[in-house]
Amino acid sequence: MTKNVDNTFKLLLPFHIIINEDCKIESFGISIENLFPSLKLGDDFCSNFNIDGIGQTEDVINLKSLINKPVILSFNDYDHIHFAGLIEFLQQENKFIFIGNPHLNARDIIIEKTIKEIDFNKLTSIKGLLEVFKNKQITNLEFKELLVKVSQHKKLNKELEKALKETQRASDSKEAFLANMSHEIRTPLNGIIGMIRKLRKENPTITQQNYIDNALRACKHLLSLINNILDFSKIKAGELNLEKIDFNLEDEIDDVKKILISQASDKELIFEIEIDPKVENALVGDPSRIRQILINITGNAIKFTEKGYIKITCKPIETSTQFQTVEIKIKDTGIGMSEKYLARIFNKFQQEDDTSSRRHQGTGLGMTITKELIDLMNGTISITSEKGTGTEVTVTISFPIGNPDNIEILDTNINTSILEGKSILIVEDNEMNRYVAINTLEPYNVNITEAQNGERAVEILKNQTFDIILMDLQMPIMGGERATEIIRNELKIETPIIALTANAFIKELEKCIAVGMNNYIIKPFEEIHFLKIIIKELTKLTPQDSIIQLYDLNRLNQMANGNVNFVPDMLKLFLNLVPKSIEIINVSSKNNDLETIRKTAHKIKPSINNLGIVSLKDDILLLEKWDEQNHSMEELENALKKVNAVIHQVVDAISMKEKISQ
Amino acid sequence: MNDLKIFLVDDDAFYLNILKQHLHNIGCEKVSIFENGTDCLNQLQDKPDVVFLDYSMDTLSGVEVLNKIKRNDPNIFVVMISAQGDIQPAVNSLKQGAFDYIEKGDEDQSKIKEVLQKIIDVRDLLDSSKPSIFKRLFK
Repeated sequence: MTKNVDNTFKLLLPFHIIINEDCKIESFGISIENLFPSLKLGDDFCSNFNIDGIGQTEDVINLKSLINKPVILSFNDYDHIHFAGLIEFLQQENKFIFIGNPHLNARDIIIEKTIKEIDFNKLTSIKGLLEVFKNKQITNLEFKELLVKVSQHKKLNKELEKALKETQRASDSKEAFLANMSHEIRTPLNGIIGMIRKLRKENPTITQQNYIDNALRACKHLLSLINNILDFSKIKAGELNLEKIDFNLEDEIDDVKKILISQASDKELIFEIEIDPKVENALVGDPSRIRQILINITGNAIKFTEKGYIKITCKPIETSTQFQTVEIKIKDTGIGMSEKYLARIFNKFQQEDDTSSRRHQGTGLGMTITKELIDLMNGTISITSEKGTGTEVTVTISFPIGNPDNIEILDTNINTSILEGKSILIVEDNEMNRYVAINTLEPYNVNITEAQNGERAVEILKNQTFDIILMDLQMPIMGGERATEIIRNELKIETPIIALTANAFIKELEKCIAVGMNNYIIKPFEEIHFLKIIIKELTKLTPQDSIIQLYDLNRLNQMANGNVNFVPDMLKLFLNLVPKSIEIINVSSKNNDLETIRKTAHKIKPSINNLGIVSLKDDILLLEKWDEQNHSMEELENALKKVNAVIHQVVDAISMKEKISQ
Repeated sequence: MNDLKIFLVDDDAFYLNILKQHLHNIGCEKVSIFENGTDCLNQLQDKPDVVFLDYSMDTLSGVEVLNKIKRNDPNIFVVMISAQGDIQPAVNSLKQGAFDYIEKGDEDQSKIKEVLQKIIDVRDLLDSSKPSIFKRLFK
């Protein structure tokens, strides 16, 4: 090795040590030089370094017998991350054996892989380095040039960051635009659908009924288009969260048939379902999204089939104690697709050709959303198709196995008697939407007061009380969020507020809840859903439910996933551990041992959270973060008192009511 | 993830069992739990693939356990579990050979799944594309 190369090594791999076959040190990096000023070339490595603890004891012992070429030892991830390519090259050339922390090395592979994936220029500078190394004629000047290259690369990094930020901004404004558009279209659509529904109840003639039905169908189509676009932008914004609830797959597939059977029978198609009895009764997932996937695919199948049949088959392909992988096939005898089209079917806004998109309506987003949803569920979709013969779509998704007892039965019979005589304040600027809401509620003997905007609502609330408030969000003069803030914070009125909103974005809905609203209804609404939410909020007001829940086992129950011993075991642990910890906190408080209080509070936090003891959330946090500068002794004592009392109640309640392991 | 042998080490038995159940839920069957570092170290002959290690434990600290595990078998993937707002020391532990770290909190469960997936990816990569240097060395 030439002197120049050696010098370069010193700087390039600041933490390296090269030893020869006799374990004598041949070269070391600049940082090693700084760390061990007395180290000289030719020193015995093993007697100078104890690298015990890094995981290489064995390696060093074996070094002498194993190596017949120089070895680089590296102790810092710095070397790996920046010069992984270089190290790999040296290894390939059989020049060196590299020994380092294998896991750091593994991390580098990820880093390198990522770099390659985003086609980032990082490796060009390393390659440049390698070229020079190959010729072994590196001069100081060349080395400086290399450093310039590396620093340029850093500059590139900065530019990339900037570009990324701009893209993010553009994407944010796109999202805002979509949210607004969704609002602007949904609001009038709510009015139109409400009016048509009303018209239908007015005993129309058969011809009129026909017109009305067509108008309603067109509205629903328009609504599903908007929903599709919204779904798509939600997925792109990472806003779409999947539910994890127990459901019965067979019921969902039956539902799909119920929804689509009329379309199929209009075209005289046979619609068959075949479900393997080995499919578990309860799986855990997002049933509404699964329905959406199946409706999209099956709807397409019907759309593109003129005669013959549509068949959905469902069977398990792998079952373990915890999971079941299910395969759903949707087969049709339709026009089929060309291979060329198959390749781009999942691209957005695609239909096979312009003439067919004239014949078959749609946004062309359906399959994109379907694919994205399946991806979100970590599933796969594949399509085989032959022009003129038909198409077969295969969806494979793995679900955790659930508990049939947890499946929520959709109750379409709602008890409307609770509405009787209730007073409701409707705050909404759009006259037609007010009219729709009033019309929906009128048959149930409620007293309705109207307000055109938030300011008016606040005025009315100063003199009058209500059982429930329905609040639009976007209104002139004063919007719903501001009005809610005033109602909650200044008027101190706790009447349930339900947001009426055309904005279906989760962020907006979260904002509603954050300012103190209790629930939300998305416009345009189904009558039954609208009534259900109102009834739900009214039911909460009845005394037996108004007590704050001491604890909540939902989270643990969900986690149990069919393991019947899990919750009783966890409760046993809770009863064994938490009171002891509380006792430690009490003793420490007497001894003024704040460190132990903090530590213990910190330790029991997962238990408190997982048992859903919401009322203690803030107090535990205070105990955990308590410090003399920011908190008073009184706060500490109050929190302690409350924690003691609540834990005492929880322990009593659990011991009495719940099943606990022995 | 089914074939990974996993050790969990945390001195909070409650959290320990929550994690264990969660790992079961995502299909990990071979899970052993330890309430302190010493017990875990005594079982290392079982050759775990992954160890989830709480950073702040009373008797033997997480970093000490990490060092001892690494000395015993550097091929074990150690993932540190740190308390909320206590990330810096955990990040430092990366330099001592930890594979990754996870912050306790509402999202820790999904993160565990991610880390395990990453471990599987890395293991596959190491096995396929790049025969381990150690294998070459000690062949």
